[in-house]
Amino acid sequence: MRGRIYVYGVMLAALTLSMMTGSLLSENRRENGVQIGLRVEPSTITVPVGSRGYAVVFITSEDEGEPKVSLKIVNPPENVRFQFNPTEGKLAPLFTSILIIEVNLNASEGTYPVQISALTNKGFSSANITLIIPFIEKNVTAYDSNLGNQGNMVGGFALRVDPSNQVLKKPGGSVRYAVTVVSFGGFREKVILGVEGLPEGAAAIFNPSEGRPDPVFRSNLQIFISQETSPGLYTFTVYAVQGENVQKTNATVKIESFNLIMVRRLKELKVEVESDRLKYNPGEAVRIFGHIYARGQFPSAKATVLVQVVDSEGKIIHSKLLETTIGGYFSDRLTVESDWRSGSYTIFATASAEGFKDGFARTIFTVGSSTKPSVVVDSVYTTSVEGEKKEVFHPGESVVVWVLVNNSGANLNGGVVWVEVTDPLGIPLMVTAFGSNIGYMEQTMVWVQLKLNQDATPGLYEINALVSTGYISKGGKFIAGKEGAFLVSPS
Amino acid sequence: MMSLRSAFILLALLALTTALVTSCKAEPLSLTAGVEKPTYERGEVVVVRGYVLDSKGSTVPYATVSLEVIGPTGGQMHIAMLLSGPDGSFSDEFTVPEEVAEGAYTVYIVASKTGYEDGTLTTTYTVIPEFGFDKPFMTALIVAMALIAFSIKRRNPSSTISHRPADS
Repeated sequence: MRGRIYVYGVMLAALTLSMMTGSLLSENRRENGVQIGLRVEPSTITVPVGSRGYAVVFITSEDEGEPKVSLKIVNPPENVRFQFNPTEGKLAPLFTSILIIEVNLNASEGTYPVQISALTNKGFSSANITLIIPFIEKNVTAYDSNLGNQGNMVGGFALRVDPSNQVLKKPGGSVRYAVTVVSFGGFREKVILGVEGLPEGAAAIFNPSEGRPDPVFRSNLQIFISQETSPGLYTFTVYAVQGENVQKTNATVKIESFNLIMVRRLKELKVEVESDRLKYNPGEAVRIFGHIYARGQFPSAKATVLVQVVDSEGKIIHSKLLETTIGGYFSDRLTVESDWRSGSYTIFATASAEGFKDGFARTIFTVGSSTKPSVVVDSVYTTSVEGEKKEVFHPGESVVVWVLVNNSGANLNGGVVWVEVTDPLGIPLMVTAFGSNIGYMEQTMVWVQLKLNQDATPGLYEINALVSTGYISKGGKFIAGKEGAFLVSPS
Repeated sequence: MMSLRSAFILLALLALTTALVTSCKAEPLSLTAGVEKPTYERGEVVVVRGYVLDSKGSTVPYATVSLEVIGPTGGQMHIAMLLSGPDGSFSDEFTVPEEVAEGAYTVYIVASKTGYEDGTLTTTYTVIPEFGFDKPFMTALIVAMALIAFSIKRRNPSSTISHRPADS
């Protein structure tokens, strides 16, 4: 077991080093007047015997007719299998494919030049990459995180971020990365993407943030650098998580100098907590799920979360201290005992992490029936005016904020649903209050439209959706809440 | 007759006791809170800090704190739902918008926790123009200073800055 772990570490380092060697621009050829660009990243790939390696092939064309392109390997070395995914497609005007390189256990160590060619009906292009098969002692079983043990192969996935380095030259701008998750060995589970180690004031958004590699799952990562962020070179980690299986890769963003706006704002942990259902009966299990993140929606690991459940009389009936997993997730479970009274039960989740102000969230569930309203804000999301769900907007655009509220307890009469939108500098832009009666097992949906100014500050805008028993100025109190966010990008 | 009267008194006493017990059951929460400064300029960060206390003055942890800020024209400017920490403290902060009206802002705070009666508190702060003066006042001040400087110059037109020769 020790040997396997040792080899795993070495090979992962070898693969990482080889990926850092950069990309290779192809020898572009012009035939019939059409130029095809072919680029492979990385240009040097180290794959030990019994393992797999990956590269991304980018093909561009100046032809506007969206020609079909097919990929081929010329003179592959023996006992090495090359596979493109996909093998062919349309240039519109960019075509990308994942090159999977499988090195058989019988392959010989050495350095091999490999030619990749892209063909269309109007031209072709080729690029050379270097495949390094390193020497490994024959009595050690090859193992790597991407592949698992070759002799008893288990499914898994690999993660790539392209490009691995980006530079931001203007203030309040954003940079984009292509994130690719490739599965192997029949792996088809859902993976969740996350990012850690972003500079202060930066925000990240994956679109989409989760998916199934079948065999490839592609996502776009947009990192927004606000004017609060100091110039410098920042290395951050992108990861893909499926249960205990975590794949990580590093990328960088270089921020060049620009004017700084000093903002006094505490780094606050954001917490989300919910139960799997709104209503339970004695004997049933209550599953509690939660997630913590810092400002900018990037998950934060290694935080502690105190989960407490309080009954309708204020007695703490359950208390547990949990540690978040990578990605900032936590979960808990309790069973509704037969002696629990009917009524509303509140779940409190208080998160603490070094360097952050504590964050908290609460939600409510009902056992049997309740004489008090049991209200939860089910969802907060944003759309365009046309109703298209989106999270990235531009200055001058209109943002529609939607809030869905559920009540599993007694009627809430004279309630108020509130929506507050705060800009990246912490300035409340809008507070809207909707008077609402929400009956037993009823849902209420409210929406509010916000027109962004042409000079709107780029960055992360936070949405605070709350429900109260009345106006606070008239003695009401908040009983439920949920946060949301959207990005304003200048480009 | 006596027995009826006794029964009535007994019933009244019972009702009174029940009412007293019920009213004693829910202990009232109280709040001590305030903003860090009495006045703020646009763009400054308003910080509200406070503690949730019980009737004996002990801090109350994990109470829900509801906060609503209302501007001089009656519109809501900010809302927040907070939770008091293990030491009963809570805090909130927000930035004064550039376009906001000058004047008095009222912060309404309600503390609530199951098993307690809600506690309320109101505090205020004032949004003032930059430098503490409004624009017409500053304009008038600059014009007045320019006129004074001009009149001094008219009275003593030959006054110039000259360098004294160095003593030899």
